[in-house]
Formats: sequence, C-alpha cells, structure tokens
Amino acid sequence: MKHVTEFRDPALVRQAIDSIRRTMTRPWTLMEVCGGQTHSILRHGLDELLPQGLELVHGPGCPVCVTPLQAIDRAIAIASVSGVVFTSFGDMLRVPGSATDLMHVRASGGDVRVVTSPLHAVRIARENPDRQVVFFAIGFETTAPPNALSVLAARESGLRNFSVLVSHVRVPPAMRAILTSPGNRVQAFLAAGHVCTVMGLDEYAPIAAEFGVPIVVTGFEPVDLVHGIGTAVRRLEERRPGVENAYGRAVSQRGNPAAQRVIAEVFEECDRTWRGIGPIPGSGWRLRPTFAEFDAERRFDVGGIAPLEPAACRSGLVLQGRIRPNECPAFGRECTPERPLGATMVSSEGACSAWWRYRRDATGGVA
Amino acid sequence: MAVVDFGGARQEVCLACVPDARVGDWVLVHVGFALTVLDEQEAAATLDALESLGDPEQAVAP
Repeated sequence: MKHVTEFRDPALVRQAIDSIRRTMTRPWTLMEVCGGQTHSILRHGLDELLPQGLELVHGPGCPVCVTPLQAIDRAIAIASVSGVVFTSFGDMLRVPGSATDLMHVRASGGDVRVVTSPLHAVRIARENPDRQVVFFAIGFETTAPPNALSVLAARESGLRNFSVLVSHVRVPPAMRAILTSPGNRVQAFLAAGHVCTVMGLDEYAPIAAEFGVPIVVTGFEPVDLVHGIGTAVRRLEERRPGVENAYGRAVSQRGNPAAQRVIAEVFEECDRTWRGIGPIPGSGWRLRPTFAEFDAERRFDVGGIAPLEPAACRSGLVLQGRIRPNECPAFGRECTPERPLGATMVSSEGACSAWWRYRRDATGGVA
Repeated sequence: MAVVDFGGARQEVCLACVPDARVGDWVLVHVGFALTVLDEQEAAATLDALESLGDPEQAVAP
C-alpha cells in the first residue's frame, strides 16, 4: 500500500542506520513517546540494528496503559449497572481494575461491547432508545477529535441515552514530567507522529528550549523511525536542541485546525493522574460544563471509588522508561498477556506486551 | 462520511476533520475518522532526503 510499502524498504533503513553510525561520536539515550512506535521498533528489530551506545527508552504513550485505575474502576461500576450498554475500544476490556476487569463484567452478564469507533457507540444509542449507552472516551490528542465528534453527533441527534466516561491525556505535560523527574536519562524525544498530526508542533518549542533537548516528530514505519532517530542523533551531536518534523507527509506545523476546534468546543484542560506515573498538572482533558448532560460521571454515581494497585506490578517504572519490561520480577511469570497484572501487558501499544511478543527469547528464563 | 479503501478492505470513514479531502486522496484514518490528507510531495521529499544519505561509493549497483 502506498505511503506504507516504500517506508518499509530494508535497503533504505540500512542506509539510514549506516549514516547514524557515521554521525555518532558518543552514546545517546532517546525516548520514543508513543507505544505504537515501541511496537514497530521491536517488531522490526530496529533496536538491534542501531549502533552500540544508542539506547531507545520506551515512553508513556500508551493510552490504555496510563488510563488511571480510578477511571477503570468507574467503568467497571457503570458497566455493572443493570440496563447499561457499556462500549469501549477492545484493549480496555482486559485492563485490570482494583478487583476485576470489564471482560469479567461481561462474563457475569453485563452488556459490554467492543467498538472500533466512537460513532458505533452513538449508533448503538440511536438503535436502543430504552437503554443507557456509555462510551469509554480515553486516549491521547489523536483520539480526542473522534471522541468529541461523537458527543457533538449525540447532541445533534437529541440523544438522551448516550454519555461518555472521559479520561483523555495530553503528551506535552508528560514530556515535561519525564524531563523534570529525578534520574531522568532522556536526552532527546521522538514525538508521537499522529498526536502532532492533530496538534501540530507549536506546543513543543517551549519544551525544547527550556530543557535544551531535540524533539523530532516521527512516524511509525521503519524508514520513518530511523529517519526520526537519525535526525535526533544529528541534532544531539551538533548540540542543536529544537523541534524538527521528520514525518512531513502526515504532520504540518499547525496540525489540523478543524480537529483542534472540535476538541476546544467539547473538552477543557484539567489535571490528570496517569496510571503508574501519578498526577501531572494540566495533562488531561475533560468535558466542558456545557456538555455535562453527556457526562457519565454525573449520570451514574461513581464518586466513592478508592482504587488499589496490585503490589507486584512495576508498570509505572516501565512507563517512565526507568526499567525495561524484562527487569520486572513478575514479567513472564505472574504477569503474561493471558493473566496481565498491569495494563502495559494488555495493550497492543504497551511496552510489556511488545517485549512479550518480540523479545521473549532474549529475556532469559521465560520460554 | 466517505468510503476509504484500505488496500482492499473498504470502510466508511468520517471526513469532518478533513474538509478539503477529495476523491482519490490518501488519508490517515484513526478510529473511523480521517485526521489528515497525506502530503505526497512531503512523502517524496522524505524518501529523497534518505536516499541522499547513502555513501555514494556504496550506492553503486552491483
């Protein structure tokens, strides 16, 4: 397929990696922010092709992984209410809450349905006027416009049986949190390409300036990734912090103004707790008060929920890039995709899941 | 709404965020919504830039 095939050309990847090798004079540590990039890097073995001393640290850009436990517990509570149809992207169903997960709610009779688009949830509400239909609106900036448009579509259709449980997160405040955390090793970022498709580059210039780091907007195919990595390494070698776009075919300086307008109409900035990381000021979006009638947290009484994390799970350290998944004592033992302790083992964008799929043999002791 | 061909599989996609999209454009789709029209010139420029990184001596065909 065009825009994919030519960006998987092995010869071009090798050429770009040779160029990185010629450029590098000392070790560097880069963080790829997005979980989609983590999976692509491990799937294509790019980390093993890169020169020695060039380390890629996996970032927190897995929406399912960072959705706070409290939101998962609220989802479980709402999905358990009789008469509710609870709709969600598939990955969320197996994410462990404090006591159970959405899959188990479904197994014990709850009407939990997987949707691949928030508009499917709106359609279910339209077709089932006697049922309360709730959509679990999670995700980064990329998913915010679709989720916002579903609320606008519900309002336009006059739906009174549709609501959203919102737990949106934003990338730039998380990058600040990583750069200011004690023991931070990240010297440059590969920014998440599709987040920037929506938001553009403007939010990143102040971060690059304040912390003196290169931030390179990067795509998801192997050629895109080595292009982004090479651009970051060149800037590090030249001591040239700043923002650069290495994903020009999908990202422009200003992003997508139509999508930004939809976000601004429906959502407002708020503080958000990230699972495994903790509270990050200004890092979330919630519904504006004008859309309160579509807020599932108001429609259902879920205020008094106190979450409890499993003690053995170290996904917080994984999400901050402080340990690799195989350094967690539970990895591949108590914690597998079949019986996940943490969300990072569940999601198709989670770092633990990527290591389980593509690096199991390298972890030692795990067959 | 529009029909998008994903290398053979066809699906309905919402175009609310890409008001300038035309029939035949390549779009980036996420959860049923097109988020941008892919820029063909930028795609070619990226590939050209990477081609030019190759060492000219090694780039000669065998």
